[in-house]
Amino acid sequence: MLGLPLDSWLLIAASTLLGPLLVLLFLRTQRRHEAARSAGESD
Amino acid sequence: MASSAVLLVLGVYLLILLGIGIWGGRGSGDMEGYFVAGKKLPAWVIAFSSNSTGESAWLLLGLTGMGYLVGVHAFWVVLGEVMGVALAWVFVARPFKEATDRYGSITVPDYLASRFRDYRGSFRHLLRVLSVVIILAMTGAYTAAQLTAAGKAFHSFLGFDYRTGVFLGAAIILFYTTVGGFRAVAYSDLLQGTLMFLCLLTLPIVGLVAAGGWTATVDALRAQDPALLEPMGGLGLGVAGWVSVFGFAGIGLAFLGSPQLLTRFIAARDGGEINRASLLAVICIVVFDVGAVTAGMTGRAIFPGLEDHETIYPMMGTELFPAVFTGLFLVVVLAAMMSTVDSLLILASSAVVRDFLQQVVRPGWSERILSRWGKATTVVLGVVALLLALEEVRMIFWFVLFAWSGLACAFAPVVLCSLFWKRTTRAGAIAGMAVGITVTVSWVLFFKASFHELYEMIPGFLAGLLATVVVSLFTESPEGAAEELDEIRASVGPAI
Repeated sequence: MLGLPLDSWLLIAASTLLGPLLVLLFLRTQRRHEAARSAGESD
Repeated sequence: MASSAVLLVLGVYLLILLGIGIWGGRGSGDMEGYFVAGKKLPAWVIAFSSNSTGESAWLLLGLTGMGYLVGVHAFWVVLGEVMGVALAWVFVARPFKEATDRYGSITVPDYLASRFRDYRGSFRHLLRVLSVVIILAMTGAYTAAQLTAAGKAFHSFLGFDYRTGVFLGAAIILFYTTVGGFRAVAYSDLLQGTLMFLCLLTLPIVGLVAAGGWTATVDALRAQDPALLEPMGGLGLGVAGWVSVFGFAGIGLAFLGSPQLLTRFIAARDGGEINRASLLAVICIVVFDVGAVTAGMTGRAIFPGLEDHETIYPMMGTELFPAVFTGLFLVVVLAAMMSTVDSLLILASSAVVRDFLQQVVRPGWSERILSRWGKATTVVLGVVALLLALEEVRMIFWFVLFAWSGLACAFAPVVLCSLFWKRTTRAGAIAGMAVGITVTVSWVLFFKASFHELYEMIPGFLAGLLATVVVSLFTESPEGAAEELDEIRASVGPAI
């Protein structure tokens, strides 16, 4: 595929995508935590 | 000799740094201002500053060279570094920032001393003093080596005399670091990180175009050596292949707890800035590393058969771009060195003044006096590094072999345990630091050659972690520490 073996593409994809995806998951969790905290404070 | 366009670019860059130094000087009159910019740094600055500090000239010369030498196999370094940065921002940054704010810490040894109540009991201050000794030994040699590299860069790009290059590099760094303190260091890192980002975004694209496009590049690499396109390189799935994979990926472990990187979290304005910085930081490191490896691979397609693979970056800079851009490529190499050296200098200065003078020897001195001592110490440390670099002392290269991994293996396992394991004790932390650094040094000197050149970060990190855990299990954890950790976790919330 595009001249590279599939396992090379898997390594390149993991190198470039795993880190940003982990951070996006972290940001979503933090937003939910902040929302829950704000809701708790307003109650 | 250098063209006037190259000198112009270099002159503008150095003038901007001097300006940042003068601007940063406001607010560096006390310890918190001088060493952590008053804990007021915004997201953009801490994101770029942490990455440009973590990546020295090795990123531009070493990692591009690795892409040239081993091809796709070098993406294991990318995986390790990107995951190291991501894990640090997701799991370490928020609780570490919260803890250092609660303790009023402005250095990593400061944090460890408060977390483990190092100021009382037998052999008080031992953890702090051990931290200072390790920081000074590792940063002194590393700084001298980076100045040596700066002298060589001036010589090879501009034809300057080596000693003039070392002196010029050191003088500029010392000026803005001493006058401007951590604020100048962090904002100059932002400038330097942005230059590195733009360079490593552009270089592989220009390389691909010059090589005739993607298919032509891949075909050229396959014709030279089909192993360049394989994830395990020419090593296969045997022991040597996996040792190489773990060694490459292990480089990223340093991002989890090296003191010069943790200082960026301390200096952030608040936890919200850390959240905002996290995505920037991880995108920045992806561009840095993918750009460097891909540039090296395209460089091999264009310039096969280089005697020294680490010359591919200057080769591409001079052969594929007009003269004014050649100046920019030199500036980017200098930027990568300077952004590391300034951070190491201020780290070492904080270790001497905050962690030794103020906390151990002269607790009664005022903030203003200590801040002046901080500036004086920065100058003294810089001059010592300058003299070592001018004399090209061979010993420093011996130290540099393990300076990056030594700092990381001494601090990262202990910092991780301190944040995530309530049972961690002061004795465990001391043992972890001592064992981490000792195993790292011993591995390089006695064992590395017999174990397929396994990178010392792996055994050093694991040994530090093991020592921290085992000794902690047999000793008492500090009173109240478990409750503090619970409060910190509740405050920052879950990571994922």
